[in-house]
Amino acid sequence: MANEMVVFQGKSFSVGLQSMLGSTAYGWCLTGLPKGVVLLNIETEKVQSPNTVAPIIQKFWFVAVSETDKKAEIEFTMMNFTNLSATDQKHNVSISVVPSDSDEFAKYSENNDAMLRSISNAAIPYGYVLGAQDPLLKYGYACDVADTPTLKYGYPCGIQDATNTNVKYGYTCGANDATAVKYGYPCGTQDATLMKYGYPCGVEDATLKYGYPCGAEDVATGVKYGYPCGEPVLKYGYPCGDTPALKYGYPCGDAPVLKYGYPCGDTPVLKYGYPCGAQDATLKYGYPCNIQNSAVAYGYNCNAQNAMMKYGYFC
Amino acid sequence: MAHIEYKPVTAVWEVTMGCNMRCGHCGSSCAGALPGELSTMEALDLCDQIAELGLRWITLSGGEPLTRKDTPDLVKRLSGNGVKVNIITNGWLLDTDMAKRLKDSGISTVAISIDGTPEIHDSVRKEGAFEHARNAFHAMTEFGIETGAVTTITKKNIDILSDLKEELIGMGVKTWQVQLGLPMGNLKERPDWVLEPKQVNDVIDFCYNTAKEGRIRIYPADCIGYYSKKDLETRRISFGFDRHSLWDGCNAGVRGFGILHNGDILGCTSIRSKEFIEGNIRKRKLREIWEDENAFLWRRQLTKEKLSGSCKTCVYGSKCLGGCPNTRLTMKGSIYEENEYCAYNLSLKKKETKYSKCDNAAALRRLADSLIQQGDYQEASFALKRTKELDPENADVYSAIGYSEFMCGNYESCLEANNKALEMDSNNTYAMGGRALALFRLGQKDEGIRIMREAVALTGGRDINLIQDLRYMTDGKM
Repeated sequence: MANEMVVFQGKSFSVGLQSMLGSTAYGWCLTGLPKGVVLLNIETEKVQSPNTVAPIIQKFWFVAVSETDKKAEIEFTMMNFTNLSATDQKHNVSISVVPSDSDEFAKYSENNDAMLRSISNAAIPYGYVLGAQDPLLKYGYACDVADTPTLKYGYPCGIQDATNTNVKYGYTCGANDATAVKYGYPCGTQDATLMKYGYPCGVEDATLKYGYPCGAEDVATGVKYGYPCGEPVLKYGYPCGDTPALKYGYPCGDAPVLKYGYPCGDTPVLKYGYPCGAQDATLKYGYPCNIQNSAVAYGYNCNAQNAMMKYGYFC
Repeated sequence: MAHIEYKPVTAVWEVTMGCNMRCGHCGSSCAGALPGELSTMEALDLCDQIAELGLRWITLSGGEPLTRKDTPDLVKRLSGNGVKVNIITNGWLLDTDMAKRLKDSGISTVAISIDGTPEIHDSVRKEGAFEHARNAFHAMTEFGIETGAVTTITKKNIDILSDLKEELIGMGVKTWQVQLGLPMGNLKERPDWVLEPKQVNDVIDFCYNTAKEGRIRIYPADCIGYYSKKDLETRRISFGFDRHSLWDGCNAGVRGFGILHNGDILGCTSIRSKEFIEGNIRKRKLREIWEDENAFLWRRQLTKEKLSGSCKTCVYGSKCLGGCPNTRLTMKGSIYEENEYCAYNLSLKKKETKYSKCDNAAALRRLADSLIQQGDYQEASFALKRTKELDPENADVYSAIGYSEFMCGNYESCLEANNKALEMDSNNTYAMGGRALALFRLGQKDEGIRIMREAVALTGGRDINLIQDLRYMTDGKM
């Protein structure tokens, strides 16, 4: 099985492969690296699962430092770490490097300010590996042929999805579902007074609905879902214009300490992301920057079935 | 109605066309003083008008401004009115006495023309010119006057810029402006001196490396650029900015103007043929000329659409407006021609060639997506146009072209591409949205909004991008 990636010289990219490393001795090893491509980092990422034994995603970060040969391939081998001669299977990723221009120019469009279009349009397909028939990462989550039945949209699914009620959409559910965790938020008996859809509710519910103040103002459209309506300087919680101290509704400059905030500027590791940190930087409800950024939309799967709002996020 | 939105901050005043040198690259072919020069009284009155108009600084040049005996008096009147004065001189007459007079008159800065190492400088200008310039630097330093160097770059000196840099640093020069020698005046008679367009990149590289060294502050003139990160970084370093400042079009007639020796007012002293003269201060007050709604129209009404060649479709076009108009005028014969001495223009030419050689439509399409997502709309446009040639029946390609052209500010092309996509699939709501935006930008706002509403309705209100675009259109944010 081979995958194709188009990468830019000088910009990092990653390959995510699922394995049972940690619970078994089998894991992916980098066994072949073409000239001009450098390994930057390796990290592992857990797949959310209530099960004791769960797969992990081994993420290999690379950068193309120069043009590669026409048919450059990165080779991974599934190995038994207690018996390195016992190789199980290979996985090759072919790389096409777009050489960087020696002269770089400032990014500009007269429509940038007004038209911060997301990539979710018909002309620009989703997919980590752009245009590849068999994406190594799809919708921001690792997958491959083998993954398909067990991992979909980053969550265990497939056979289990339909029959095993313990795991649904990546959140614990099933027998305990009703009282423990639903859609990732505590619910059940406490639901009415403690958390609803992730937002405090209960006694405060009258003044705080879906996490946003409401009430009289709500009806009067002065405040709806917590955001002043019709206000030219604030719309849907995001300040309009070029307020330097606030961008996307969150204070700038707080990237290291801000959670669920959006680091402003050109933070190379995480942009429009959520919790920062070494693990988070690559993929967790966040959006990897660099070349990968372009291919991972909101970290969520959007498709025709999606409602406009899902788990509180537009998709 | 007066053009009150244009606030001039600076001007260049050629106080005389008389000069004591006959430089090979002189853009004004200066020799003896020309008839019609403003008298001292007229010039002093103009100094008052300049201050009244609110200029913050002015450059006195020529000719050789110090050949005019009353130049220190003009400096004194201007500086006394709160206008900072800079003089560009060849330094021949700038001895200790003149330095003292300028100091006493309140001069702010002096720039001395240096066009090469001693041998080259003298060959371009006059025997002994370099030595006089060196002495002038020393005189100015003695009086504590901030003094820099100005170099006109031609093929005569481009290869010795590093040597010249060392020479200037050795003389204690702190600031250095470099400008391209353009084929006008005497240089028009010496085409073999004029740089090739691609050499502008060598100039930018030199400036960038010099700025990074930090031994002398180097200032590329407005004819050098545009939007190259090296150029931006050079200016950021030299001006001491904390961020890059993008070129925002020529100052002529917008933030500055020129004054000729006889009181003619024009946008730029380099663009001086009759049709560019907006008035004369012997006939009208300076403020009246500046605020004349029919003055400086060539610049004030210049739009990207009026440009030609690559500038007309350039992503920076509406901001840049083709860079230096005089470069286009002298190199190509019109201020509306494309600027072949633009670093970005040079880059576009290379990219166009690169993509024309690629025959893999699928790879180009993938690459275009990556380029769009990284904000390289112009390059994506090249890739997509080539994709269209290779795969002309692919509606998705036309949608993508529509998007990239919109982001490049090319609304006619955007409209054309989206119309083509809609011909192939009339329910393509993405192309419908693109068509709406293009029409909106082209001035058909009501029709654009109507089509966008139709697109939103067709998606059942589920496409957040279309809804957002509609909001921008109706909220007046576009």
